[in-house]
Amino acid sequence: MPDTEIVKVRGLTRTYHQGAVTVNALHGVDLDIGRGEFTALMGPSGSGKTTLLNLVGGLDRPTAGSIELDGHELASLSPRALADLRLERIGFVFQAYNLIPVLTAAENAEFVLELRGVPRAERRARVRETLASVGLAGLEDRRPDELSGGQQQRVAVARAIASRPSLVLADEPTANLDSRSAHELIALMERLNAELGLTFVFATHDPKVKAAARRVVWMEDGEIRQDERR
Amino acid sequence: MALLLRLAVRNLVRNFRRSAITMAGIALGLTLMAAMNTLQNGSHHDMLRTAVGLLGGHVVVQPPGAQGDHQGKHVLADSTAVADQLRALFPGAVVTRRLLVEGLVSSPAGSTAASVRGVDPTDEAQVVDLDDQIQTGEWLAPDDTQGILLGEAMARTLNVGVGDKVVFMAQPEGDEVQSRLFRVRGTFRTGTAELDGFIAITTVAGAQTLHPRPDAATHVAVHLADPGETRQATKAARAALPTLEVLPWQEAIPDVREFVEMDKRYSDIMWLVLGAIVSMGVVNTVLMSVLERIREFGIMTALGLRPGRLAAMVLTEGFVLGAVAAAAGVALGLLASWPIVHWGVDYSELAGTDTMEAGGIPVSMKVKGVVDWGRMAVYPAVGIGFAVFASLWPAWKVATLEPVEAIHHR
Repeated sequence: MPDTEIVKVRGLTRTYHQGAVTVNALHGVDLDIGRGEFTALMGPSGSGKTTLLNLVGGLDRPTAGSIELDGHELASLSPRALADLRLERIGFVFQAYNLIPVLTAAENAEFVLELRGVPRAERRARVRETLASVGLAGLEDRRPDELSGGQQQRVAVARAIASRPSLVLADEPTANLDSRSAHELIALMERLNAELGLTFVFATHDPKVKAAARRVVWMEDGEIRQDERR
Repeated sequence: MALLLRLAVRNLVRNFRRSAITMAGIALGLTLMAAMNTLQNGSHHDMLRTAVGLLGGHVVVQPPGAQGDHQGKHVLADSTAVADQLRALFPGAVVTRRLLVEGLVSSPAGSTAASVRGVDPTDEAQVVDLDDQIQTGEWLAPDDTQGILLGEAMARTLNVGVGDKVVFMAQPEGDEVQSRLFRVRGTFRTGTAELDGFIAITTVAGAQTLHPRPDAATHVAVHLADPGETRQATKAARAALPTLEVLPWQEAIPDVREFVEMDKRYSDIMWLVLGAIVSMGVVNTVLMSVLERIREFGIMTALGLRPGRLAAMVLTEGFVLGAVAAAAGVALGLLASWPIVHWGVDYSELAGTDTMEAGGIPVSMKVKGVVDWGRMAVYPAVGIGFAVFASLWPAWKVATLEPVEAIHHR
């Protein structure tokens, strides 16, 4: 029987040392994320949301505890193997769009597919379809500096989902968007979750994301204080 | 690879001015290298041409054991037959016989050590510039067994001029001292102290009167129309004259060849230092470009680009930078070489002399450049190599970035 949990976090601790100061960003966090979930990690600044997201995404190493992603224990993987795992299974959406400025919208969206070695014709078709699905048809050849903030974030979403990852991790995806663009983006991700069954985990302060989420994990001081399923 | 190349090119174009300045630095360095090499190569060619003509030939035939014999004890007993055989073997070449006898030349005013070179005047005039360097009097007539030409410095030492008599004493073979009188036909100036103060020239027949063997010659030399055929010619001469020592000029006059090689190595070291300085500029450019894009690298890593490929991307930027600069540098270098090849460079006024001495050989101060195509083919690789080398450290920095720190880099 297939495992229904895509992420299993046990006793996760992350401690940073800034000079003489030690910061416990996470301590002893346990969390499971099921396939197809639409989860919001919420909490005040410094509560550990982004740290948890980075650890689950294999961008950071835990001080203690374990993270299992799609059956792979991340702590045992080399930087190269972690990069391969991210390439194959994770899509990222960052707060500040973070598109590659020298690539067009289509090239940004197909970046992951190109790294995966998907043939040119196939990836072009898939990217065209994906960009159309996020409402960017006709803007394929524009560079990031020729797009609005909302459009750039849509390209970032297209980049995250074009490769059909097992998990999409989004860090404050609506933080830099106006209210209308934020609503449109949330609606888009809800649709992708419903239609494609993609698993989304957000780190967010945004009440609009909270309202859309079917599970809200509340964090404070590096710990999970509340886990609400709707 | 296509993705890395695309990113590398676009990132270079993105900071066009900075990339252009760095490429201009590399290109300028290569332009200078190419132009200076053309000049130096021309000087070496001139020096080797003079040395080959003066000291031997492209192929030198001598008795076994003659190499390194500065006393002139080893001679060819039947030089006319050897010369005729070589003329038949190489119809397009000039074949010269030389008999070198060392001894003492005297005049009423004094005496000095000298090396008398017996030559065939007509043949010799075709392969050396000595007939053009006559200062007083004239070049020897082919049948002149009495006449002698003295280096200008030697004539001054002996206080003799055209028409005066000098006596030459030598002990060419055995214990018997030979002595005879010559009449000065002229003086020459090569610009080399050793040659002008030590060399006297007479005909082979004139020099042979000092020697117990009537048809003696120290060596018979073949001067080829195309020096590139030296190896084949040496092989053919060896087959035709198996009992004699047949050497290509590289082995017959190793000192000059070694001098040229050493001169080239010195230049290479100088260019290496220049390359290292230019590399500092490339390191600066690539590093600046890398430090400005830490966040981008973090994003690419997060998206699944392996650290090694990230480093490869930075090295590709260095490669493209170097390749474009190298192509421009070598093209400009060839362009700058053209006037050096066509008109040459005249240092004589600057140096206050028409010739200078290098490795004991007179070298003209009017140098015509010769393009060294082998080196020109290597220079692009040098430019690219330096640029890629200069990118190694920035590439290593990128490959060892922590993704989470890179993404949040400000």
